[in-house]
Amino acid sequence: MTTTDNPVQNHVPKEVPNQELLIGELTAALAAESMTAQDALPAASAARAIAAGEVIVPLKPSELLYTTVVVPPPPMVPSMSEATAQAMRPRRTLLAWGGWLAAAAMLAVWVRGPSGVTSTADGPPVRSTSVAVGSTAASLAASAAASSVRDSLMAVDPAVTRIAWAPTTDSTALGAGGDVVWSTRAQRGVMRLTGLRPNDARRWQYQLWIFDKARDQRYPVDGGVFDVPAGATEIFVPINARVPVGEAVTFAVTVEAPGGVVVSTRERVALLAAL
Amino acid sequence: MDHTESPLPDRAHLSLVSRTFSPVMSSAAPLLPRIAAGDELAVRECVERYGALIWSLVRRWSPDARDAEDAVQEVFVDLWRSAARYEVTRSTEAGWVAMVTRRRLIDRLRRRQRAVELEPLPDDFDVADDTLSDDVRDDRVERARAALRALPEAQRTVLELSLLHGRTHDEIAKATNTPLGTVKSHIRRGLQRARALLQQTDMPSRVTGVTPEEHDS
Repeated sequence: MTTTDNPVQNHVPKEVPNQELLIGELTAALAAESMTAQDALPAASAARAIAAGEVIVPLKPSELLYTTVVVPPPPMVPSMSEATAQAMRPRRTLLAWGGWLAAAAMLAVWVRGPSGVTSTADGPPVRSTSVAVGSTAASLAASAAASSVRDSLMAVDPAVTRIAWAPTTDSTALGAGGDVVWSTRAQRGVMRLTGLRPNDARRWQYQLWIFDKARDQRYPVDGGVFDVPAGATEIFVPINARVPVGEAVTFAVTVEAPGGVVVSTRERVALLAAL
Repeated sequence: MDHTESPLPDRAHLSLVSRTFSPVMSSAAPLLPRIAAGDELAVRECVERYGALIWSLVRRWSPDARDAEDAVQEVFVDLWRSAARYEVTRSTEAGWVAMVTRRRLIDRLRRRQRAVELEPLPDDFDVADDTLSDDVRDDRVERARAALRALPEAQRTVLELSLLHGRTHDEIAKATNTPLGTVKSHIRRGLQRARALLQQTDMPSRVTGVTPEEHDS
C-alpha cells in the first residue's frame, strides 16, 4: 500500500534549471536505448498510478497545495478470541454511543421507510454494478488501486471525510473495523475494511449505502456491491456513487442477496459510519 | 518478483543493445499540458506512454521490489502534481518525465542515507539557454541518443552507471576499477560533450566548447 512515513512534497521546483533538463534528456535517451520487455510497468503499479491520477488530476493539481500525506498503518486485526472478548465488554463511550445511536436512528428511519426504490429521490431507479474484490490477482490489484485512491484523496482534498466504521451486532461484523474516506469534491471514496467476515458471493454479498444530508433519508444512494475474499485481513473497496452526493453523513453496509438489491430488505446491517 | 539489478552490470551489458521494447516517447503530442488542465483522460495515456521509461529507471535504482513499487507511485504523484510546470519549449516530455523521476529517486536515496555523491554535475558546469523550438524538440531524445553514441566508451559507461543505474561515484569507481577522480572527470566531460553535441545539432552555429583533449579521453 502507498503508505508514506513522511511528507510527500512536490519535488519539482517552479523553475527547473537547464542542466537538470539536460540530464533528463540524456537519462531518457539512455533508458530508451536499453529498454527491454522487462521494463514494462507492472499492471498493478500502472493501475495504482492511474487511480491516483484520476483523483488528483481532475482537482486541478496546479492549484493545490502540496499537503502532507499521513496514512497511519493499518490497525491490527484482533484475533477471534480477542474480538469476542471485546464484543462482550462494554467499551463504548457515551459519545461514541451517541454517534452510533444517531446513525442508528437515521438508519431506523431508512429501514422503516417505504419499500420504494433506493438511490435517487428524483430520478429513475438506479442499479449498481458489482464492485467485486475477490481473491484473484486482478482483485488484489483492484484493492491496491483503491488504496492508492484513498491515499490520494487524503492528500489532495483537505475537506475529505474520514469516518471509522462501527460494527453492529450482525454476525458478519464481529471484530470488524476500518474506515471510510469520502471526497465530496471528487465524488469518490474508498472503504477500508478489516475483519469483516468473508462472503460466499454465490449466496450473499455486501452492499454499501450512502446517506446524503441533502436527500430524503429514506432514499440512500447505492454505493455498490462488493465481496470480502476469504483470508483477507484488510481490503480497500472503491466507492463510485451512481448519483451525485451532496453531503454524505452516514455510510451503511448491508448484507444482501447476490448481485445486490434495488429495494433492500433492510434486515441485516453490518457496518455503520456516521458523522 | 526480482526486477532489481543489485550487482553492477558489466561493461558488455552496458553497451548499446538492440531495443526489443520501444514505447513511443518523443513524437506524440504532449500529455502533461492536458493533465495540467485537469483532463482525467490523459492520465491513462500518460501511464501507458511513460510507464516503461519510469519503471526502467525505478527498478534499476531501487534496492528491492517493494521499494520500487513505492517509488513508482511517488514518481507518478509528482508527475500529476507538477504537470503545469512542464514547458514544451524547454524540453521534451520524455526528458521532463525522466527528470522528475530522477529527482524523486535521488530523494529516496538520500532518505536511505546511502549516497555520498548524488549530483554528477560539477558546480561550474556551463549551461547555456536550452530553449527549444518546436521543430527541434520533438526528436531531441533521438538526438540525445546519437550524442551518447558519439561519446567515448569510458564516458558513456560512467554516465550510464550514474544516470541510468543511480550508482554513486564511489560505486562506479569500485565497479569499473577506476580512480574516483577519473570517474568524476569522465562524468563531467561526458555531460559537457553530450550537451555540446546536442547544441551542435540544435544550433549549428553554436560553439560547443569541446576540446580535442576531451575527444580523446
